[in-house]
Amino acid sequence: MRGFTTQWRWLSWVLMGIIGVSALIIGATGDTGPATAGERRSELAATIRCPQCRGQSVQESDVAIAVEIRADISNRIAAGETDDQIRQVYIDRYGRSIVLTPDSGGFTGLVWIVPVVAAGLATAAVALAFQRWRAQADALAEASDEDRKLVAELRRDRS
Amino acid sequence: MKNRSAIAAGLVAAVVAVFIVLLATSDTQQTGAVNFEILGEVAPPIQGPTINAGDYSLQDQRGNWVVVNFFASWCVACRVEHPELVELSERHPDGDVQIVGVMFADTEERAREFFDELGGDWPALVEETGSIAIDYGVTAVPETVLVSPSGRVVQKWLGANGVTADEIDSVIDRLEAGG
Repeated sequence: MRGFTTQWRWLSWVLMGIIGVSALIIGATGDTGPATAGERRSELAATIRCPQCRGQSVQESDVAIAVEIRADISNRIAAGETDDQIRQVYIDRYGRSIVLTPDSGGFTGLVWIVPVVAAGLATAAVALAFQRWRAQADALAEASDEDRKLVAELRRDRS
Repeated sequence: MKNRSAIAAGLVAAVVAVFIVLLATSDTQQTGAVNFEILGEVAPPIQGPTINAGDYSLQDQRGNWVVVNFFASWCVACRVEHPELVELSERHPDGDVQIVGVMFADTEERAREFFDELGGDWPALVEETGSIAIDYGVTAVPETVLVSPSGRVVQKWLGANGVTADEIDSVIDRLEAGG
């Protein structure tokens, strides 16, 4: 019975892992992208910093240059430019800081890597802690001969 | 047990240190980005109909200094700056220093009223000027760039008070002297 329970426990963990990894893969690759040019413009505009504002994208801001950049993005989409080409135009005009998403390479790439490594380490630490607590609980679950002898003596004394 | 705690604390400290270094060394140019990416570059094309029903092309101005002024009638600093450009225009009647206005987020009618009120007879582009402003990395008006006779952007001015005729002449004199 105990072996059967252990097997089920492992199976449930494996299933959970498969579901989690599948969800991540679908989430990362299953995006079919924006349906319309307007949606594409909105998504792109949300990744471009408003050059005149503090902490706002050109999608959120209504200052003149943000309005102009939104119109420019629409024109470039209509002209058939790709998202990367459009972003590059603004990087060339305004510098790398115009893009709100950090670089994936170089030292700044640590921004992406460190949280993943930290989450992995934390998960491993929690798993280790659970394993140790279970081992301690298992060790306590079985009464030793000394325990039985002690209980028997106590009962004898009471009676 | 103590060793393990010390290692864990060390790891956390290392991660925090990495983030602090990242924050301290990252680009902090978050706002009001004074953008000078264009300096030294070939001036992007400026072409199109003007306020005076003419046609303008920056390409045709090779051999002259060209002052490109991005303006709007609703911009107070542009109104403050405009008399300086009129002064510059009067100082160079022979045309060795040309001025071209590029309307920014405004209407043709208001731009015309702006010139009628404040003077100035240089060409001003009023159609589809947003893309020109973006090509020049404009963040807000007024912004002014100086294009050399060879067609490169050599100076950019921006700020609440705009540019003065003396500043423009001084830069041109310095560059002509080989500075």
